[in-house]
Amino acid sequence: MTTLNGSSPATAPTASKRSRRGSLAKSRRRQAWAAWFFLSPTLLFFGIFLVLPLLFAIGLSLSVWGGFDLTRIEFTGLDNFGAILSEGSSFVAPILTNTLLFAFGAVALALVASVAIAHAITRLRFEGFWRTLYFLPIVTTVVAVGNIWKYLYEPGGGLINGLLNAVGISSVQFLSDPDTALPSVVVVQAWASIGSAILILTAGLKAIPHTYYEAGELDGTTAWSAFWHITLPLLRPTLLFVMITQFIGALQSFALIIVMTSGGPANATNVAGFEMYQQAFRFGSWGVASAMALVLFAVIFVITLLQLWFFRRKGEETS
Amino acid sequence: MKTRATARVVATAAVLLLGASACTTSNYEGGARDTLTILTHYANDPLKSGLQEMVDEWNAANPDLQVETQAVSFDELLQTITVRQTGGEAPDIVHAYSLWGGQLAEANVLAEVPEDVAQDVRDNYSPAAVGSVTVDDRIVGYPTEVQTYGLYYNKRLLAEAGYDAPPSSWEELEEIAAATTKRDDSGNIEVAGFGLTSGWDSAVVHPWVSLLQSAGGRYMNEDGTATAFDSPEGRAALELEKRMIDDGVADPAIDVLKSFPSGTTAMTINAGWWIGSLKTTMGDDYEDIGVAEIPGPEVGDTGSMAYGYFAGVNSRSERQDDAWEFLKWLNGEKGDNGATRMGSFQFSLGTIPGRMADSEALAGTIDDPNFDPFVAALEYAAPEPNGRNGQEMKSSLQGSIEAVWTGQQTVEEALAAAAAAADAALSEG
Amino acid sequence: MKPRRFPWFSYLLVAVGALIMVVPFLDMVFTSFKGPGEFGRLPYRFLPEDFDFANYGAAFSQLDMPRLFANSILMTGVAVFSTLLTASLAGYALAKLRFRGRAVLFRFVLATMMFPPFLFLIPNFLILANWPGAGGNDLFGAGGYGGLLTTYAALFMPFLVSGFGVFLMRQFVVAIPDEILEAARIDGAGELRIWWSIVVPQTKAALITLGLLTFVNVWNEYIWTLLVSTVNPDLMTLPVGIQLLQSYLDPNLTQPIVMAGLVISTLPVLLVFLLLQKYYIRGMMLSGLK
Repeated sequence: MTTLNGSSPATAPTASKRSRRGSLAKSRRRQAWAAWFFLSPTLLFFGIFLVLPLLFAIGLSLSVWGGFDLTRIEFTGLDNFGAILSEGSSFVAPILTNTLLFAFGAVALALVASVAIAHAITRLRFEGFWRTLYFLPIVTTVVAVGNIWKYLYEPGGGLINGLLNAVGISSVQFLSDPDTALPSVVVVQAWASIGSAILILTAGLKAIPHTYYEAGELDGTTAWSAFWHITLPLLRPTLLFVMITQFIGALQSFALIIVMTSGGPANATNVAGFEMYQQAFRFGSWGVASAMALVLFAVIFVITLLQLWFFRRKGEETS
Repeated sequence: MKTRATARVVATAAVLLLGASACTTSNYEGGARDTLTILTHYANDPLKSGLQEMVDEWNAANPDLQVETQAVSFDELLQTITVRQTGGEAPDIVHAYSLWGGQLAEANVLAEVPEDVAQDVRDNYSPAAVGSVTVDDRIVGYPTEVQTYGLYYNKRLLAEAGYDAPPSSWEELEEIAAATTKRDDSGNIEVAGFGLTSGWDSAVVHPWVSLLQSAGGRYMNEDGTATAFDSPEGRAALELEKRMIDDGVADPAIDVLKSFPSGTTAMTINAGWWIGSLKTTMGDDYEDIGVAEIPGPEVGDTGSMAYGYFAGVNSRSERQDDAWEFLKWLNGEKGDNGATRMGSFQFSLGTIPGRMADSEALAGTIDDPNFDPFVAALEYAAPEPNGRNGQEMKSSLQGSIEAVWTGQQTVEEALAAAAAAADAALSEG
Repeated sequence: MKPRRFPWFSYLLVAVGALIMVVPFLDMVFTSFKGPGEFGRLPYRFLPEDFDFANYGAAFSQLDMPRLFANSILMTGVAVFSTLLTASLAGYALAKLRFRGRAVLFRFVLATMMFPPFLFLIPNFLILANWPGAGGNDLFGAGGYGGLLTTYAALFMPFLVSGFGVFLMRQFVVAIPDEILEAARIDGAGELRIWWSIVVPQTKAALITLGLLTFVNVWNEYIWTLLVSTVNPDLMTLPVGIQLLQSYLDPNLTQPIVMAGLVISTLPVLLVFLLLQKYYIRGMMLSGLK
């Protein structure tokens, strides 16, 4: 990991000072020219597919547009935001609440499971083999993940209900009962993201120096309290990173929803990303959809800041 | 020097790759289309091949004006229309669900209908058909079919439970549904007495609207400006459905489209198009199937809702006249049997053609009594409202009904909320 | 240190977890061999009655598999190639070349990683549809037939450059000793040549890692490709095609065929992943330690 030391732009390479001044200036000019040349494709791309779309999204969110004829855009100020955030709008409840529940549930589940598994895996032989098994869903398309689980949940003929029936429990309508639909999808999201969490946590675990544990052993601490008092606190930065990235991922994820439930039953699994998609590409309400996208982005931003702030503060208290 | 040459090759390859893949893929040569395209949901047989047969006939007779069909499943049709329209690859002819008329008209997808076509529709189609293609007093296209609802039942399952006739009132409906239900040891339903299906808007909303009308209620008020379903009749219809779920004779998680043909659901409410599909999937077992008019609270009450499909021309098409030419041939010109091609095709599937002369010309050709209830319903069926927010309204109503089915909301709460949301949308749009 | 006890609890935990991870995949494979009517029969059975490849045949006959594969390969190939090229060049510039504005540009690249992709779904769709001078559009992007959206370019355009890729490459290039580059400059080598003959070989492992990450992401991309192939079905990729299988077929028979389709579409990525696992895992770990 030593390759990463230069991550701050301030530690620029010390240019050779041996060169004579004249040729140095010339070389500098040439370097600057080359640099802009090398960067131009990247900058052009970000101009077209990052800056322009952002402006476009903001503009659309302030307008009413039924699609297809750009001359028929009508500027309406903050009306779209007013409509989707008003009381009684289904965007706030249940859709945004679902989005948060979905993300919280999936991250909590994945985090607890991955800490436990990552910690256990480091004590086993054939670590790599075990990790690979947990990693399979990461490289699998969401279409496969969603469909596999849809059939596992199937009331007539799916594996999970097959097992329940075998022990005498009658079938559960996992995806068509609104009480179980969201938790069922949360499990799939957690299942699919646990692999990368384990991987990153393993890296974090390996970075904890052995001396800490040896000191603990001398004090006669149990494995459990070593985990609780040594491993977890030292793992905090890694945990924070995993939590934030998984949260961002889960808040915006809706491919799984498209594949598994299309937001149903009765909006029980409708999340903000899916509603945005639906408003634009199905109902033709592009302005409303863009406003939803920006609101969701704001939510993600605020939650990320909150997490950072919370962990920083806790870090200061304990240290 | 060698390395520099390699770098140059890499750069050139990149440019070529990008350039080559920006070339057009199909359909477009010199910026204009060389064929007329129809976008439809006739993606499966017998619909797909039936439409193709007519198109082939036209193509053989009109070498200069070739027509190409593009079919997607019904679930994807609205999204496909919206996405293609905005994405630029708009079909010349849109074959769409009547509910979307308002949304498509407002987004300026549909071209003005020529006066002779509009007049032909007004004069020669049944009121339910004309209603389904009228948006703000404007005709948006040719009605291609009209659908009404009936009560499908499985005679064999009813007979096994000791009934030789379909129910004629809600009370009898519940009684027969309870008598025909069967369960296995772990309590899973093996045969459901009545079929309700969640997850698909029409399957959730339309049977309820039909029951509401059989109780004498209305979906919309007289002039179509506000909803009228939050009424005693609306609540009674939803309570009936909820009771059957609570009693364990109906289960919305069962897919009726699969379970009814396989003989594991005794009764359900569906539209006339289903006859054609049941005949294909059930084969000889179709003999077991009967259809009755939808019963109401009292013996003699009945009701149904109506919806349809229409074929309109895209305002973005550069060959609108040609497109109307083709549609007139398809929907307006009489074939050898005295009916239009579209009419004969729909009739062969068990769907009532919208054009009245077609129904008369074809009346003698089919003797399946299961059609009678759907024809009778044409007299009283109320068309589904098709305003700007039609699809959104229907989706939210679906949510409310499902919330009642699953016990998340009471009937009163759900209908009041659905009506408030729909009325707000109506007054905006 | 005293010898540790055999960690039976850890083994149990990891093994049970692994079972939960693997059984769904096995269920996919086994279901893909089940015959008509075998899926959905109660009581549930894990193994198929016999291993019949009929469903694979059906998946191939229902979908234009060669086209789906070709589209997926084209999309992924161009995206990987372009991501590597641009990230390597930009990473070199940001790490080793001295010019005004470098710090600002580096921050900009970091900032691009903050914006979640869903934000760009709608605008990118509209931008490609109204691309000036393409697909019959005039120079203001109006009037034509979908601009670039109906062409193969629509598949990969939004995936040509990766902010994370630039960042990753920059971190690796920084580690190359300045003396090597300086010596090459004194020998009269141009920057392009230095990049090609020094920077690229020195960062080969990082390039493989980035290429693999991009490959997996783009190959599995679903929402963008769904939109693009709705506009023009000729552009359909494997994941979209497989999802479509469900609506094409008789619902009573589809499950095993869909599963066969899923096995077909998952296999290439799985093989590549298993072969080059260590590079992929290293990439994931690096992304964790930034």
